Amino acid sequence: MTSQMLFLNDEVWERISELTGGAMDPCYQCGTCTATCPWGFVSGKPLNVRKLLRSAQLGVDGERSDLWLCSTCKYCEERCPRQVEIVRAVLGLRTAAFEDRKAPDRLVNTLWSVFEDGNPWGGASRDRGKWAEGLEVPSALNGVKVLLYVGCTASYDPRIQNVARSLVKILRSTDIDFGILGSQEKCCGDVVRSVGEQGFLEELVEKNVETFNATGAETVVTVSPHCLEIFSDVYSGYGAEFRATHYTEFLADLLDRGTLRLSNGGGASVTYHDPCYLGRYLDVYDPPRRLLEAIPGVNLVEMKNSKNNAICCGGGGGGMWIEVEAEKRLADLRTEEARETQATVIATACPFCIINFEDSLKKSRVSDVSVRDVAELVERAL
Amino acid sequence: MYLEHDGEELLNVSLEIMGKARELSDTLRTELTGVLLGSGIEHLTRISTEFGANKVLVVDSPILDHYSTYAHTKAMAELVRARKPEILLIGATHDGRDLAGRLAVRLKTGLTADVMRLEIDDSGLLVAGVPGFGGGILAMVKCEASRPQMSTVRPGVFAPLEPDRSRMGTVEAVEVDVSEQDVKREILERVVEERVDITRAEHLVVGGLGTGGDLTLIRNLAQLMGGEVGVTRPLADEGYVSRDHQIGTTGYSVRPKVLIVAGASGAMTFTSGIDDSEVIVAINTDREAPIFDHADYCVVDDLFKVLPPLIKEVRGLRE
Amino acid sequence: MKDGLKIVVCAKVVPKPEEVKVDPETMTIVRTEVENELNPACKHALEMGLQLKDKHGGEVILLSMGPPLFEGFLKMGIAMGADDAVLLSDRAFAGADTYATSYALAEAVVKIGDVDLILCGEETSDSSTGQVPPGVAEWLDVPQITYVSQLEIGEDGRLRGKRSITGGHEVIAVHMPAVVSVEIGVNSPRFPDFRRKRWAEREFELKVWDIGELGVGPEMVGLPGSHTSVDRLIEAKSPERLREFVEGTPEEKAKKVYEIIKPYLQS
Repeated sequence: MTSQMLFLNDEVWERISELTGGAMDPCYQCGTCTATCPWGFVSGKPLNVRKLLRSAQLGVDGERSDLWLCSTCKYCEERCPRQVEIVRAVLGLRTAAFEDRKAPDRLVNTLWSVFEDGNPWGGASRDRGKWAEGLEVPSALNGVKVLLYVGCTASYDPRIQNVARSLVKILRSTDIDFGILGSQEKCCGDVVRSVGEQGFLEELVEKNVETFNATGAETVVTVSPHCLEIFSDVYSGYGAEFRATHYTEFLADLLDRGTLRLSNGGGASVTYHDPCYLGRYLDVYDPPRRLLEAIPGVNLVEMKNSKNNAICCGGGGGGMWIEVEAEKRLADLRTEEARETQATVIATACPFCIINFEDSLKKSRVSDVSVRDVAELVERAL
Repeated sequence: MYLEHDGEELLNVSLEIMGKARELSDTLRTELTGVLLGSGIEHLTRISTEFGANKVLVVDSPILDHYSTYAHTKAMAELVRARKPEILLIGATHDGRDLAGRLAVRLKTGLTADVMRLEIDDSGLLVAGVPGFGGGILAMVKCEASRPQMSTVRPGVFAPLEPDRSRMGTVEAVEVDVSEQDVKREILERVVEERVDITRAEHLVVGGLGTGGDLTLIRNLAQLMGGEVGVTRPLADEGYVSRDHQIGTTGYSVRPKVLIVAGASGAMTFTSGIDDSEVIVAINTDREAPIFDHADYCVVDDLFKVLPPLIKEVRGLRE
Repeated sequence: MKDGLKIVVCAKVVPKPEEVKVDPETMTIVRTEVENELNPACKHALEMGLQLKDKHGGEVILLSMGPPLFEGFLKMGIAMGADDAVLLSDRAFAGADTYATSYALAEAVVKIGDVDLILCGEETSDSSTGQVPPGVAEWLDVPQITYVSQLEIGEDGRLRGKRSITGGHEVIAVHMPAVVSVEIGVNSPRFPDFRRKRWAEREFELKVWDIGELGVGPEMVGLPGSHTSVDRLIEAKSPERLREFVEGTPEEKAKKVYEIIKPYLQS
C-alpha cells in the first residue's frame, strides 16, 4: 500500500470548516456510518462516509466521486453514536467542490434548468400549470388559506401528475379553501441545495417566501417531502409567514376531524415505504399509515426495515440525476423487501420514490406489484 | 452552384440542389453552372452534367485539396466576379456554411441560410424559405439589389433529378489565382469515421423495454436509415448496448431529424432527452402511453409487427 | 506568448424556443414581453472562452448587439466569469440581417482593440443562420474555424480547433487573431456566481455604444445595411407535437410511417 503525503492547507481547512458549520467535529472515526450505509448492501464497495468526514476534518477538498453518490438519506446519522450531522458535512464538502467547478455536469445542468425555467427537469416554464388543465383549481394568487405546493416533479412528470390530480380531488371533497400557484410556481430549491450551490439558492428562497407570503396562506401543503423539508428547514429562516406540512399530515388531520371520509375500498395488502425526507428527516411516520388503514379493505403490512430504518430509494441528494450501475441500485433493495411482504401494492408518499420503485420493478419485469402514492389510494377510497 | 464533394463523390446535397437549381434555371431561362474545386476531381465532371448542370467549371489544384476557408473563398470570389451569376447556391453543410458566410460578405451580397424552399417571383427574383424562428415559421426572404443572390440549401429537402447520361454539358478547366499562401490553415488531423455519439446522430431509432431486449429490428432500421441506435435506461442497464446509446435525464439528449421510438412507455426521465428531435414517431401497444404526448406520429401496435414492413420499405429506398 | 489572451465572446439573447414568434408588421422577431434566454450556443462559446482564460490568463469580454433588455443577460455572463461587456444598442442597428450584424460586431472588435480570439456560438436558436461568425471573420480579414468542439493553444502559439465535418472531424491550426464558432453542447457552461451577479447588477457598468460611439455610418448597419429582407411569412410546422394517430394494419401503418420519414432520409 502506498501512502501519499497529504498537505494540509489552513485556508482550505477554514473554508471547509465554515461551509460545513463544523458538523464533522464530533466525529471520532468509528466507521459505523460506512458500515451501515445502504450503498454497502448494493455495491461491492461501500460509500466511505467516514473518510468523507475525515477529509472534512482535515480540511481536504478535491474530487471525490462518492461525495456525489450520497443520497442524503440519513440512515448513517440515525446510527451515529455521536449524532454527527453527517449530511451537513457532506453538503458542505459539496459546496466546496461546486465552487471549485468539480460538481458533476448533470447536476450543474439542473441548476441552469431551475434558474432559467423554474424546474430541474428541463420543462418549459409556461407548461408548469398544464397538469391542472380542466380541473379548474382556484389560483392562490388571489389570496387563499391553504396553498397546495405541487412541486416540479408532480408538475411535469406524467406519472406524478396523477398524484397532484388525486390530491386536488381529495381536497375538493373536503370543501377546504385551497389554491395553487399554477405556472407561477417555482422550484423549492431542494436540488440546488443538494448540489451545494448557495448564492442562487438564497435568491430562489427569498423569492418563493415572498410569493407564498403574498398569498396570505397560513398553511402550505406539499406533495413532495423534499419540498416540505426545505420549507421547514431553510425557508423559516427567511421570514416565512406560513407553516409547511405534508399532505399526509394534513389529510390525516382532516380524517381525524371527520372532514375526510373514505368509504370505498377493495381488498389489498399494502406495504408502506417511509420516504427518507418524510420519515428520518421530519419524523412523520404515522399520518400516512392512519390514512391507509382508514381505507376499507386495506391490510397494511410492514417491511423488514420500516419507519426510521427504511432504506432509501436513491433519489435524494441529486440522486435522480446521477447514473448508477444497474446492479447497484438502492431502489432494488427496497422493492425486494417490499415483495417479501407479499403485498400487492407498495404505497409511498414521495415522487422520487415512486419513480425509482417503478423503474426497479420494470427492470426486474415484475408485474404483480404496483406502486401507488398514498394520495392515489385515498382518492380511490373517497 | 458550388458542388461539394469528399474527394471521391459529390455529396448528396449537391445532387439535390442541382435538381432544384435546374428547375430555377429553366424558369429564368438561364444556364446552370456547377463549380468544382479540388484536386484530382476530373471524374466528378461527368456526373455533374448528368444531374443537371449545363456547364461545369473545374479548378483542379493540389492547393484546393481539402476545404480551406481562405483558398476556397478566394477561388469562388474570383469565379463569381468573372462569371457574374444571378444566383449562387451552396449546400448547407458545415463547410458550405463556413464558405458561404464569408463569401457573401466578400461579395457584398445577401445570403439566406439553410433554406427549405426556393422560388422565383414575378419579377424574376429568388425568394428563399428560411426556417428557424422556432420551426413554426418559414420566412420568405429576398435579396433585392445585390448579386449574386446567395443561399445555403438544407440537405434532404430537395430531390435530385434522375441522372441523364444523354444530357450534354460543357466542362471548362479554369485557373484561379490561389497559392499556398492563401490556404492559411494547416490540417493537423482528419478522421472520417467516428465513435458513436448519438447526440450528433442525424436519425435515431430507439428501443425501450417493449423490445424485450431484442434490438435486432432497431439496429437494422437504424442502419438502413443511416442513423444510430438509442435505448431507454433499462436496456442500457441490461447491457444490450453501451451507455453511449442511452437517452434521458441520466443519459444523453439528442436532436436528430427523425426519431423512431418503439416499446418505450415515455417516462419523463426518458422523453426529456428526445424533445429536440425534428420528427418523432412512436410505436407502443398502449394507446394511453405517455410517449404519444411527445410524438408527431403515433402508432398503437406491436413493434414486432410494424418494424419489419417498415424496414422493408426503407431498404427499398436504399436500393 | 504574451501575457494572457484577450478574448471577445459574441453573444445574443434570444426568445426561449417555445416563445419564438415573428411580428407580422415588422417581419422581425418579437423580443420584448417574451421570455428570453442567452442563446445556448453562445453560452457554450462563453464557457470555452472562460476555460481558455482559466488556462492561459487574460480577459473575456462579451459583445452583443440588441435592445437594452440584453443587459441583464450580459451581466449574467459577467457573473459566470467574463470581465467586461459591450452592448451595441441603437435604433439604427435594428432590422439588421447577418451582413449588417457581422459588420457592426466586427467594427466593435476593432474598437475594443488588440483582440486575440473572437468566439461565437455556431448559430442562434431564433434565426439559425450561422452566418455571423464567418461574416465577422471576413470583415476583420482573419482566419476562421467553424463548428468547433474543442479548442486549444498549441506550443507554437497557433490556435488548434477540432471541428466537425460531414462524417467525421478534423483538427486545424490557424494563427491568431481568429474567429471561432462553437458547437452547441460541447462543454458544460459554469453556473453563474450569484454573489458576483449581485455585484454586476448593482455596481457594474457595462459599456453601451450607440452608432456614434461605434463610429459607423447608418447606411452600413441595421436595415439600410442589409442585403436581404423578409417578404412574407408562412406557417410551417407548429412547434407542438402533432400527436397524429396512424391507423390501419401493421403493414399499412409501416407504409404510412415510411412516407412520412422518406423526405428526411434523402440526404
